[in-house]
Amino acid sequence: MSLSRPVISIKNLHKRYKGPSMDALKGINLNITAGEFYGILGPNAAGKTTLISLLCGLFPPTAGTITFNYNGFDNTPSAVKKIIGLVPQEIALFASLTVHENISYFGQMHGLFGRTLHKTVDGLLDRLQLEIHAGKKTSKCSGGIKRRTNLAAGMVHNPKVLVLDEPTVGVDAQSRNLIFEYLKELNRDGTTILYTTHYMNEAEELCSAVSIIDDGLVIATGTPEKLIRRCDDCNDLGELFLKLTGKALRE
Amino acid sequence: MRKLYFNIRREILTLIRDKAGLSILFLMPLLLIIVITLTQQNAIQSVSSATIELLFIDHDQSTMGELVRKGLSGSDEFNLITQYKSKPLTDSMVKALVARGKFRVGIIISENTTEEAKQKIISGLQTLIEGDEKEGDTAKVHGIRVLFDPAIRDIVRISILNAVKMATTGAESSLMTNVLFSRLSEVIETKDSVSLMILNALQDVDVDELPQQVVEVGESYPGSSNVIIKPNITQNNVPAFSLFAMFFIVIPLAGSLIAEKNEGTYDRIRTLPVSYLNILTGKTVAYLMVCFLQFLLMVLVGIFVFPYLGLPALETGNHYFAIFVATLVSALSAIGFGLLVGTYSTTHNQAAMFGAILVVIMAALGGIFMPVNMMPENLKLISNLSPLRWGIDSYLNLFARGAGLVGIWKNLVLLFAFFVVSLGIAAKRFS
Repeated sequence: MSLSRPVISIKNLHKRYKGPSMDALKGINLNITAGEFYGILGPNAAGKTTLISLLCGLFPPTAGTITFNYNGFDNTPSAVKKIIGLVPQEIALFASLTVHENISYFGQMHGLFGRTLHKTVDGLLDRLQLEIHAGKKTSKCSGGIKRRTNLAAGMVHNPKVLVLDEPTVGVDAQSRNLIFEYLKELNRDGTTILYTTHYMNEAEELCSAVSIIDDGLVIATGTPEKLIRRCDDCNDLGELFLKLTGKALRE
Repeated sequence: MRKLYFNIRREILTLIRDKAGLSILFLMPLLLIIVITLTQQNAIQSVSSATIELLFIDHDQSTMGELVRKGLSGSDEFNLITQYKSKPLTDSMVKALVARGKFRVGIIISENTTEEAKQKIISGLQTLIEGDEKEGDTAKVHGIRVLFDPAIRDIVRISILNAVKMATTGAESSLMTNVLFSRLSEVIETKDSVSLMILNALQDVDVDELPQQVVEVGESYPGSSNVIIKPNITQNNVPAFSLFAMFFIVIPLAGSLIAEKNEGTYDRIRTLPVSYLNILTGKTVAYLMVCFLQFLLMVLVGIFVFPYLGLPALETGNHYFAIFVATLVSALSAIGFGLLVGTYSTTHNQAAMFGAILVVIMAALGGIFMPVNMMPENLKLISNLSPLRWGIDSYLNLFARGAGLVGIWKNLVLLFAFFVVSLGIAAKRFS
């Protein structure tokens, strides 16, 4: 596993939304290497979700580029969709479908059928301890089961890049631990992970590198240890974060 | 194609599991057609206020024709039309115009009706006096034909028929008086013994025994096929309300789009390597199945359940393929409407309120509650923009007028175009 080759290069990325003039991103530059567990941190309205949306091809940037540097990869939107897995902050599942049906559906949309699909879905159900809930409608499931199903649905096609937008919001300690273990395992197996969270301890525990974004700009980048060391009176990432972004309440 | 199959499957599972939504889709429309049909069956009084245009041809050109014309035109309810596009009406023109639904009624008074009616009255009087009924005395004069648009509402048809019969009876009474006066004149002038004998005999005759209804008012429905379907409330209501029900899929369909938008699945779907058109096509196919099931259920209830409720059974004619195509494009149009509402609404309540009310408005404009030809002129024009009008007209042409695909193709093109435009707008907006 190489940690040197940037597989995602983000250059001078700008995004301006229509309507009242608002620059969500004001020139983001990031290099994410293969197999990295990359944390994107920032207060509310910093531009994290916009960055993730652009990365997943939900809408085009106003300026700048995002390049995926895989061998023979053509960077078309359809090609990007095949290598990326998104786990959104919302429980983006079909409420009337069961846990099994939801995971299968997202697999089917990625072109998985028959035995391959069954094997993959069964593997995910087993790994995320969802087997006994497989037949339950997601609308009837607890928050933890929904979160794990949400994760499985984004992972079912074994993406090269997994994008997680606050995947542990509202889950209990056990579910969170299970999700962490699974993500670490995926990362060890070579999946590049982009992770946004408001929980600084999560970022410190999981991420090999982080970028702190505020007001549409990257204000700090590096490994959590290096960033903490650089700050004289910071003992952890949480203190560093508050020092850099301030204590004033955001939107 | 496999992805499409799985999209269809997902939509069907979602639909099946929404018990409340399904009950709205199937039970409510059934309740609607049964209740409204039963109600309308007895609501004859509501027809009177509008002026009805009657095509009128008088081949008789004598007393009967003149008196029937006066009887009908004397009423504010009817406007007698004797020319179409500046040309005098002919029998074939009247048949064609009524068969196409351009006019709802045509009246043709046959040649020599007055003369034949006179003879019938005289012969009836002689029979009364002599007490010896000759062969053919009971046969009526086939003098007046009333041609009805097969899609005419039953209450309107009955009302018009009664008015024509009243005018005819009035004309017959005048004719009888004429005959009697002319006999009286003959007695006075000639002192003819036979006429005198008749007049003497008539002194003992009860008025009720005088020849009555000597002229037959015949009724016919010039449809586009050989199958004669008698107009009745079932032929109007079952297809029309089936279409009405179909458009109510706007609520679950728009609801599913809104739920996907609000719950994040829509954004997630957009990160999948599948076009949104594929997703929308999946929805379209699933809801198309629902619409067909709805329609089938309605038709089966019309055929098999209505007779048990004392209502006429639905007759489907013989244009099954045309009915299939009309149902297909009507359902597509309803789905297109659902997609549009779902695209532009932001909450489920908004879509439910907006969609449902708009369906009722479009249905009213389409002539589901009141025939379009009884609407004010400006409303008639607006009604041309209602997809429900296009659908209802197609179904009435098929179920009541016995038309085939040729008779409804323009409406089918409009319905399909509406679907294509709606799908295009939704796909563009979502992608």
